[in-house]
Amino acid sequence: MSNLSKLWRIYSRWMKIHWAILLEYRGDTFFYMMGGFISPIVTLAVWMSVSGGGTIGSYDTRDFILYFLSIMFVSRLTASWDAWEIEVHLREGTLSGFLLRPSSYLHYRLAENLVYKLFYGVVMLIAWAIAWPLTEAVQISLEPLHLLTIVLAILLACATRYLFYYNLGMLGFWTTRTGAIVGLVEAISMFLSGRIAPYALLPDWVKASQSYTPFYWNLGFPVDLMTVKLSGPAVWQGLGIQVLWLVLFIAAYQLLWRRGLRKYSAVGG
Amino acid sequence: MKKALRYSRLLFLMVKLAISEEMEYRSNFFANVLSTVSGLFVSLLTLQVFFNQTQAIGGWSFEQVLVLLGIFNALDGVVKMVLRPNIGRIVQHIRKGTLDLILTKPVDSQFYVSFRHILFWPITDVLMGLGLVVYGVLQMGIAITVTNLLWFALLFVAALVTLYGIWMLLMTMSFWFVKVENLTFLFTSLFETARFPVQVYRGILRALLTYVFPVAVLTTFPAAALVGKLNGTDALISVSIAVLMVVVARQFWKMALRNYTSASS
Amino acid sequence: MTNGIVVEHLSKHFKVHEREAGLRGALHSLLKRSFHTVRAVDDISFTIEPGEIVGFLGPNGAGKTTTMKMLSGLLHPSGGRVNVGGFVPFQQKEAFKKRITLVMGQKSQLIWDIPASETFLINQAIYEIPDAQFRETMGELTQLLELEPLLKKPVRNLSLGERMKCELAASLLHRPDIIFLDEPTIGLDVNMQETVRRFIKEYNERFNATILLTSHYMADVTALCKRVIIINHGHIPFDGDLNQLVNTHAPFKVAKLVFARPVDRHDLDKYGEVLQYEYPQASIQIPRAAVSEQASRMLAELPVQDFTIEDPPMEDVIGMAFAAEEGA
Repeated sequence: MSNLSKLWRIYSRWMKIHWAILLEYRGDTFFYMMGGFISPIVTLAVWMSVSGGGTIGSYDTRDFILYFLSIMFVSRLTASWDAWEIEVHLREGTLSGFLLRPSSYLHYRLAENLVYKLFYGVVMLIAWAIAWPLTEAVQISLEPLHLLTIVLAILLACATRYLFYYNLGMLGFWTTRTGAIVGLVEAISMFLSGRIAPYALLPDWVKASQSYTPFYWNLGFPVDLMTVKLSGPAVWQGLGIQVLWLVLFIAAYQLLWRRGLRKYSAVGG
Repeated sequence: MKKALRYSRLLFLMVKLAISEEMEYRSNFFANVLSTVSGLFVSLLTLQVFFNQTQAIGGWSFEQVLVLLGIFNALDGVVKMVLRPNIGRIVQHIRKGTLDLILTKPVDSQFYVSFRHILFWPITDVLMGLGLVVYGVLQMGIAITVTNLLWFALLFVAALVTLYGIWMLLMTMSFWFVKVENLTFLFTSLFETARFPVQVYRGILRALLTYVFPVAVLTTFPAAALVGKLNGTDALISVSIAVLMVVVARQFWKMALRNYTSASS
Repeated sequence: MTNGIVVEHLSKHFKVHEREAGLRGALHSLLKRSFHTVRAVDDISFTIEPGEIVGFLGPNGAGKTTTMKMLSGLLHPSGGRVNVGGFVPFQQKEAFKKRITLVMGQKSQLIWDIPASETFLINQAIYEIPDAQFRETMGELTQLLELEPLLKKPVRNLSLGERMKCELAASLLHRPDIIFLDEPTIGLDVNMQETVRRFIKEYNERFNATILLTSHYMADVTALCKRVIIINHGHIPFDGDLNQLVNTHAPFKVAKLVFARPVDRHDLDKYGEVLQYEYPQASIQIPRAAVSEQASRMLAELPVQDFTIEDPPMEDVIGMAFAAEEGA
């Protein structure tokens, strides 16, 4: 119990601090958010131009718009910038300051992520609500079970993608080329996560990748739920696969953090 | 004229400096080739996905879009070589007060902060981009006339100048914004729109991308010149925007400096 | 429960990858990686009693920071044993972390963009400091370090010295009884150095804290430490009383004289070694044992207008101690 209240206290104070920083840099935060929206808008524009008002596969104009709006929504909520932050903390040796204190570094990082996600989430929900009466493209089904699966899928995607990048960042214990590795992964994920096109329109070999890479489950899957392209057992099966990936990344986190610290304490920061 | 000669000699020196600096970090070369190749691979795959569903995007065939993509990659290489290494440093200069040192040097301050730090390895992006342009042209199987080439050369220079102008405006904004990484991020995101011909975008968006954030000038018009789709209006827009951009950027920089020197003393 | 610091045969060796310059060197090192071992800390032993302030001195790269990092649990030793306050540091137990602190003059835990008071609140939560104790400690620290006007300003707007005061407060909020101070006064102006010094002394007396301090400023050492440990090339050539260090390596004092009228330089030689003579001033180095005898002789025999006897500057003594070890 006292452990829980300690954790609660740590999180509430870290979050207060990160909120203060967010406000301090509100202009930059806004820019960052807008910047993230441009790529889906471009891709949407290309698809609109390609479809020319008609239908491609099972996607008509309204489907394309909803699809890429959902991509914006989910990808902003699942974004993780921890790989870069961890790299900086390792390079500048500031990680030591966290290791000396009796509270895990993860709490600090996670609290920051939560603050920005809550902020983005609220802003985007408000924008979505404003758009609701104006265009039917954003009017998704409000059936409770459907909404519940969407929320679950987004939360799982957030956690998995967060840990994925956190783990990549921890490679910095062993290499100074984390930036290059993350860049490569980003390029791959661009294609495999569904950012370029709905999975239904992608070549077969990309579709096959969903059985052995996490990319689709971190973005494409929640979006497919929002656009109602999946139904029945496929939904629950997908949530199950998300849980599997999450468990795998938690295990990887444990391993990398323990090994990484051992390496760090052997050579120093 | 003498001044132009002096500044081109300075620029040459800075490139030479960059090369000798980077000979120390050869592994960066391989890292760069790897990221260039993988980036190119992904964009080709992306095009493939679109062209699986259609014969033309915004009236451009696959080969024509390849030419445009080549130009995009070459410009991206220039961003990495010259523009990106310098942008973060203005903030540092302002914080540490070293901007004052630059202002006392007998060299144009805008020139200095724009070109002092150059990365050499991204030259691979430029070369591969231009390679893709040649490949696309060959695939189209049309005869390229000297007029086409000259127009292309002119509009490519206009594209470079425009790119520099946009970038300089952003750099100057870093006098007021503390976290300049986000400005870079915004630029990179907007620059992404240049991967496709501007005809893809409709209505206001197309106007914005032609006149406000002129990506049309960056890739669409030079590519159009080469593949023979260029019309007089586009060429005129290209050149005027390029000129306008450098003039505005220059004035904005001067204004920021006036602001800075009166605030810091 | 032992409260002090016990170090036995402690070593830290790093393997360093050697690379030759040039393209050939790079290729060569790809095929055959050659390593050599750097013995940053090599078999050192010492004990520090609870409540003691010890100065830890040595040139750059001597192994000071490496030792400090091993004592605070950041680095795993290659050999030997460390016990700090009854704990083995590298196990990084929470109970251990709550008893120590490491302050580095060149690294900061303060959050850059917001006031330092926010960092204090975070540390309260992290170290689980009860509210009453937090208010009390905060009050004491605010008074001792004169923090009041600093608490509301964002850290980035503080001067270097002000930042160090906040850093000390953030590091000592949980009232650690074992403190590692790595160059706490670096870059500060003389007044601020004095403030920091006074504060460290005060804290030590009030909480009987064990303190290990490194500094490039001898004034820090002479003001705070009765005992010094000297480390050089990973070894400890001297561990003992500061006065004893002076006696061993500088067994003399320096007499400074001002004359009323010129004297012959040769007349000065009989009192000791003349370091410098330029009328009207002279400084003469005299062996400790002979100081009082020579002093009265000089006063009687020379036209002395002003006369002082000083210890040699601390920097010189330390320098001589290092030099003695190099020669050995």
